[in-house]
Amino acid sequence: MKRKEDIDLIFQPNLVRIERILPQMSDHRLFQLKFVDEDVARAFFHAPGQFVEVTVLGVGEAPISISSPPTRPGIIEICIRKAGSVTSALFELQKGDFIALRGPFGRGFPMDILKGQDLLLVAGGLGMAPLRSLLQAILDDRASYGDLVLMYGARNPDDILFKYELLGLMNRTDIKYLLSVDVDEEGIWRQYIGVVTGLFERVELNPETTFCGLCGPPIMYRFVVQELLKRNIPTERIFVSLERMMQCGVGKCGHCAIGEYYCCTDGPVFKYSEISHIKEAI
Amino acid sequence: MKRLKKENVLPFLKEMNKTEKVFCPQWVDDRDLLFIPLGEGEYKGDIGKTTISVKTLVFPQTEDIISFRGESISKIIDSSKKLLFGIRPCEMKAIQLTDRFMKRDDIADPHYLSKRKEMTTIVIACHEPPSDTCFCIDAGGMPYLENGYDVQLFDVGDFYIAIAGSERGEEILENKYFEQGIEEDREKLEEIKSKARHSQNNKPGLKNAIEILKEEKADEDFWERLADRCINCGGCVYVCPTCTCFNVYDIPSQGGYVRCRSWDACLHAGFTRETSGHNPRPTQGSRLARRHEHKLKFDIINFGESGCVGCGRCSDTCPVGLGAIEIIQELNKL
Ligand SMILES: Cc1cc2nc3c(=O)[nH]c(=O)nc-3n(C[C@H](O)[C@H](O)[C@H](O)COP(=O)(O)OP(=O)(O)OC[C@H]3O[C@@H](n4cnc5c(N)ncnc54)[C@H](O)[C@@H]3O)c2cc1C
Ligand code: SF4
Ligand code: FES
Repeated sequence: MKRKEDIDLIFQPNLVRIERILPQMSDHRLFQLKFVDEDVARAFFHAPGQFVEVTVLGVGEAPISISSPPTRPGIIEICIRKAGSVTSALFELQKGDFIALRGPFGRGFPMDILKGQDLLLVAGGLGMAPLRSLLQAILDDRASYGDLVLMYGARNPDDILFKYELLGLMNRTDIKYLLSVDVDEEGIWRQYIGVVTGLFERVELNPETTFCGLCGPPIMYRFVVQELLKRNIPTERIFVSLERMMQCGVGKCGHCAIGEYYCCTDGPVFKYSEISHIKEAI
Repeated sequence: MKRLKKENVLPFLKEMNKTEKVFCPQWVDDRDLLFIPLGEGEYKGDIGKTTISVKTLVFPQTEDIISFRGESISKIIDSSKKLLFGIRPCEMKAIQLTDRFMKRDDIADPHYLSKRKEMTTIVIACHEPPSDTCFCIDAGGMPYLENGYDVQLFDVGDFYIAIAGSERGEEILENKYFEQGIEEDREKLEEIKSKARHSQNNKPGLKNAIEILKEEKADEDFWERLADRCINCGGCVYVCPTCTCFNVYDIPSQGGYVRCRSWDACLHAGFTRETSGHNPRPTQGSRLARRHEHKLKFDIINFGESGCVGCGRCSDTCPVGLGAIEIIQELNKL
């Protein structure tokens, strides 16, 4: 067995094998990964909302949220949108191929604070990737939390991440799952059409007990936060997961700075109250 | 307290160079004063202010950090011994600030710290400012140091008064080229220090600029107006002794790959641009603000101290007059 001090997950990428690739909507895939070295696998713990730096050998590195929950250790899931060089190179790989990971990095959702509370999760587009880790962690320990609402805004009915998994939530009574699509050109959508904020009419939020977790494109935060403030949710109970250009993931390269913070170490999950004074934050 | 005769500096450095790599300010083609390996330029005894700060020796412009060979992945660590002779007090202060940053949040950067650990620092105090753009006193420092060095030298004309600031420094002063000082040197030292304290006329008003930023008096228009002439060259950042932002990229090397890091600058539009095209800092004004707020506002929040040491290199370098001195002066007009 490796000694604990010989395992470096911070600066040195460690090899992982691609165990399975699950196609999602267009240009998105879910990769199931397993560390080759079992000691390294055992040393890896994460909180929902944290991310890893993913290396495609010979291509480069990119920060990617962990989509699987800490309640299901062993396999690490990442959901990738094909965007640039590293993410596109991932799409060339097959089951059994090797890539490498460093992490987990950053501050995730504070599970100890969320325990026992009513929760509202709001996701937009790929924002579902980190929120799925939070969602599954809650569902795996459902009795420890209060009321649970998930709002998910997708572009159109074809572009829904984790589609079948989330469909399964529709019949559950212990979670209210609301889905919206921005546009429905084919006229097949039976649920809400419009931006995700429109879903707020369909829920009652208790401002005394509700905590919120948000992840989506920058424009979504502005509107969703407005809705939450209108409903008197205190700013320190709104958690937003922010995205920035990142090169190191460990607070050194400077690319991800947001005012006095570094998104990679102080975030990516921030209390809205921490960043509301910074103009460039959202 | 010891003495080092100026005529003994080169022999001393040559001797040290046998066991560790010696770096000091040397002239290249009589044109540039650079902090380079002994022998790569001409040592003429003047320490001056090198164009680029000694940060290059702990945080090089480009360095290899990870090697990938087949399925083996390993860190590349440079822990070779180096002796730096002729560091200016402001640069040493900058290294102290960088040390703190590189250990921030209990995440210790192994590539920086390995080099730092094996580095011997010989500081030469400035009895008079080496250039008109020096403003270390205005920036809250002094042209000499109280601590945080191995050896500090004070210029007394024909010789230096040498003071050790660490165990390693004591060891250096045992070298045969260092001679025993005399009682009067103590007085001389106080004289030099007192003179040095009053030697700078350049006082842009950094303290007040910090207050002005804290009070949020510098708005978007202020920064956009100044940034209008910034040509995005990044020069201010590269010469800055406390700027340490970098890029990471992989390139083929000897049948495998090597991961490198290189200096980057927050003045470049691509610094924060994400693959989607979204850029949270979309204008040159927002980027110029970032550079100066980082030092004069956020470093104070995070470390209780400004990140500008007053070396004036950005003002020497910027082709359009947007160095720290000019920015501080503009802030003082608000
Ligand atoms: C905390 C965090 C979590 C993320 N989670 C996911 C996820 O779960 N799934 C997913 O598909 N994408 C995610 N992203 C976005 C993803 O990191 C970028 O799409 C990716 O870096 C693009 O890299 P590339 O090499 O394909 O693109 P290129 O443009 O070829 O590469 C540019 C390089 O710049 C950096 N970079 C560029 N854009 C970004 C960006 N938006 N964020 C961070 N670094 C960037 C990376 O180092 C990248 O290697 C996340 C980003 C952050 C910051
Ligand atoms: S040196 Fe001057 S022109 Fe160049 S990036 Fe800095 S501020 Fe802009
Ligand atoms: S990603 Fe390098 S400092 Fe945050």
